[in-house]
Amino acid sequence: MLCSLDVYASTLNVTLVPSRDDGAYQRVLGAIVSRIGEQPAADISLKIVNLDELRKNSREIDQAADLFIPIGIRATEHILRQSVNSPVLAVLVLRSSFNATLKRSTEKTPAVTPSGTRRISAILLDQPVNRQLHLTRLLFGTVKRIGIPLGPDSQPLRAEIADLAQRLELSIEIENIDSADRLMQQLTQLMERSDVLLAFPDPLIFNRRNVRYILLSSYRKRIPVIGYSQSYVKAGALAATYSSPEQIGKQAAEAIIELQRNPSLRFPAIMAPTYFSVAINDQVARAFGYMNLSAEDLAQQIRQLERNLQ
Amino acid sequence: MYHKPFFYRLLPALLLATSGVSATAEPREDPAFAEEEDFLGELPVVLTATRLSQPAREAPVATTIIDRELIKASGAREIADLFRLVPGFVVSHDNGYTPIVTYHGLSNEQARRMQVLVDGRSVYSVVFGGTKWTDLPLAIDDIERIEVIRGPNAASYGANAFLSTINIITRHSSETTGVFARANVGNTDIRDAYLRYGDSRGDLSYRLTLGYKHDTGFADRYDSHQVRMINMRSDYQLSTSDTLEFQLGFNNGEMGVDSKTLNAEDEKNNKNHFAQVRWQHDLSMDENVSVQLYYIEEETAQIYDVTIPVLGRVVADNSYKASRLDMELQHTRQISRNARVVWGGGIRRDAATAPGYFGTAEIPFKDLYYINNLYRIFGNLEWHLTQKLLFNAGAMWEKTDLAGSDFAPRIGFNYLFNPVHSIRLTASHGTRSPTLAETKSNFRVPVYDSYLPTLPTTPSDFVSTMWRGNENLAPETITSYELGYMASLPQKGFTLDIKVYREELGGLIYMDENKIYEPTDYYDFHYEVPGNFGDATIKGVETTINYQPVRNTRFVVSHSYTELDSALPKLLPDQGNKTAPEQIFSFLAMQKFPRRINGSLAYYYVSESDGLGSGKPIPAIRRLDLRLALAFSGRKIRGEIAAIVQNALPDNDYIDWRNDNIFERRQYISLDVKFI
Repeated sequence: MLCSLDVYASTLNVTLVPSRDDGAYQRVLGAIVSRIGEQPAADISLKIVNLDELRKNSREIDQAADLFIPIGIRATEHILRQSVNSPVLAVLVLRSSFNATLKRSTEKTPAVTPSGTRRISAILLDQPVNRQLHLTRLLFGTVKRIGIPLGPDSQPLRAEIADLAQRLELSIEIENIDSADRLMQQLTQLMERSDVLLAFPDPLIFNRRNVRYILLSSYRKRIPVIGYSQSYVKAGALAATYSSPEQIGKQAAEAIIELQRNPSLRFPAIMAPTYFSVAINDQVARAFGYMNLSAEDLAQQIRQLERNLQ
Repeated sequence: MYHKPFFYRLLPALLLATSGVSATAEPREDPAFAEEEDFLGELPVVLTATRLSQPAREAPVATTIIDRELIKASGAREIADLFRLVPGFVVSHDNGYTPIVTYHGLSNEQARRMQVLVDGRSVYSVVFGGTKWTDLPLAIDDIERIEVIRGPNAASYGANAFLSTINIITRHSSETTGVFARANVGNTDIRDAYLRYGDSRGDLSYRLTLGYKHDTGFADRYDSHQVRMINMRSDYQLSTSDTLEFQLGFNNGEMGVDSKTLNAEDEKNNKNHFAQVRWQHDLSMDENVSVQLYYIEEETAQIYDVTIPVLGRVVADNSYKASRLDMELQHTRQISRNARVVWGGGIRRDAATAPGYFGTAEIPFKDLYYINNLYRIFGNLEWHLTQKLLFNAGAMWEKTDLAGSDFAPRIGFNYLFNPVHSIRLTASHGTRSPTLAETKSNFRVPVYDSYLPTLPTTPSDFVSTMWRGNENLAPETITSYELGYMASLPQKGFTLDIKVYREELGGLIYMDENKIYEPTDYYDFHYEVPGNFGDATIKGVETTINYQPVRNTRFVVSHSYTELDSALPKLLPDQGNKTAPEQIFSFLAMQKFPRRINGSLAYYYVSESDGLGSGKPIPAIRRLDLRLALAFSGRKIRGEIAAIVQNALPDNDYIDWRNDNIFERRQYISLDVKFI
């Protein structure tokens, strides 16, 4: 039967490599496995390989795999260093670190292998610019000035931010921060001309050390902060859009299923997270005069706006 | 007892301690690589429940916030001028450098029924009450925000938070780094200069501000002034749960004084300095303690020595020296998801000497101080009974040497109908303790070489007593009922607050109309003594609107309608009632134009009024202030040049409290530069 032959031919061997065996990596893994499990008809074989074992014995690497899914940047870096020809779909990685790793690996190992160009893609952890801007617009309207500090890692977003802000009629103030030396001073200056602070991930600006300074000094000026992660919201940001490891895992699983159905499919080089939630710090929201903000409603509205924008 | 030496001896030790620890602070490293673990991992909770302040719609009392944008747009050179933007507030002048900021009238040139705090430090004058705005060692550019609590709130701010409380919050020192300078030059010989330097190193930050102010005041008054000031603030993050804030200030000025009674002019010298330390410690995410200690000293030196024909040589000594040492402990605790408690206690020692006012010594400033000790405990509870219903309760108990003990409770409910509309209903009771001047004064003026032909015998010398204090004064009381409505649409940049209130004031302290006969006083034969003579009922409506319809335009509008019904000694009811103007209106529009030009327009209206001790009624005041500014920036420099016109309406000189205070048009150029 042609049909069964087809199914047989499309058995997809996927190798999953979590950077660590705990926390978010396990949650992504769990989500992939359970989502694939919901699709019993699909002929997908999942193989989970421990990164440490892989490091010890790189021959462990399964050259027969149809798709490598490194979870997290360390696994991604390791996989990209190996000379494997199969496509790679990195998940749970930040845009800046993925790009840096990709750049480093293509310098070391030429991207072109005997079989042609390696297909490397990623499902990012960072939320797309429009999503964060939509959230900001829903919370503050178009009247408030949105201060956006950009560091070395987030500066590539500048053009996209400016373009989208114009389309959404938002007023933005961007401050380029190049070094940690004058970080505080530059942030203070930015806050002088902002009503809201919008954060895009950049380890120079938003890190464990600065979180205290940023949230305290913005609150002293009664400037709310839109963060980019659940933990930033817990720390004191007003709200953020974010994707949980489960949501990332679900998207990865759906990519696998799609690839199994259509083996010639090529993933885009960079994919934004499809599934996301909105986090709200209720206490902070109350302090800024908001009441009954519904994270679910906001997420729903953003999804609608994203559809309209397309 | 005199506390200064001990306190100041402590300061270098504190400073050394701070700098010593900072040197050992670990160096900062730059994370080179963004790992998703940083992104996904837990961060310390920074804005804990104890750090968040109560939002306006949940506050029990109407509150007006003056932010930095408003401060700038108002074009004000003086802090006191900012209160024109607050409904119910009148800003006038006793002389060019002595603003009078009053709320709901009833005030003479010392507005005693209002508490004024700078970073939690009470600058309510030790001797006379009221606030000497010009003598505050504080630059307007160092202010982050001013919160004006309209209504009694002793439970949160202590006694004297009577008709209202002004809470000035200065900028954190980590936010004023680099070099900043401002210069103002204008008519009436306005010459102001400010220079600030700040730095932030790791967990320690500090700033130092130097200032100089000068103008010649009103044309018909002898009231030029020049004031020099130094202000220093340092913040030190001792650990993730401990912060230390340290401030020092010093102010020294020369002012012209004139007396109608004595037909004399003279110079006075005012000094004012303070030191303040606050330590804050987080016990947990839900619990915080703070300890604050401050010391203030104010000093005025001025003696009129004039010969008045017929009477003789009169020596009126207006000098005084006063100090305040205050310590406060406060504990904040989030007791459940829906309830927060703030409670604490404090002790204060006010001390003063004044050879003229108190008759404390022949030679100025011997250690013959009048002392007033004060002990207080306070507590506040915010409790969200349901998602929509909030209960606010607070109380303060205070005991002073001068006026015994009093208790000031407050209770209120806020109902949040939905994210937009909310109402509040609050009843509170407050007190104002009599000042040292009201209880202890014995203002005596010696007269030498007198020749009074009307006297039965002609003495060569005698002492005239002007007034005396009353040691049996009771605190003034206020009971206030407030119904408030608030609409807030943060997405639309709109807030509206309407306050309807009734205030019943009793035992108001005024001078007696029945003078006491003093046979040895050949000048007057009488002197006056204050007593709890006055009563008043105030009703009114106050409205504020804050609206930013489009990005570059913002309006702040306030209006108050006040009905005062008073019984004050020596005054006809109508005169007393007019101390609170019936209508007060302010309108401030801010507009950002292209090419980095900012414009603002402020219009103020105060209906006809009568200040106590101001002489004749004050006609209605209309005033227009304009400001046009151009911002500029270079590679290492950022700044703004602004032209400000106060009272810009043509032919609109107005009487500012006293008949001889004619406020003419004032204009000045202000240049500020920041080196980055």
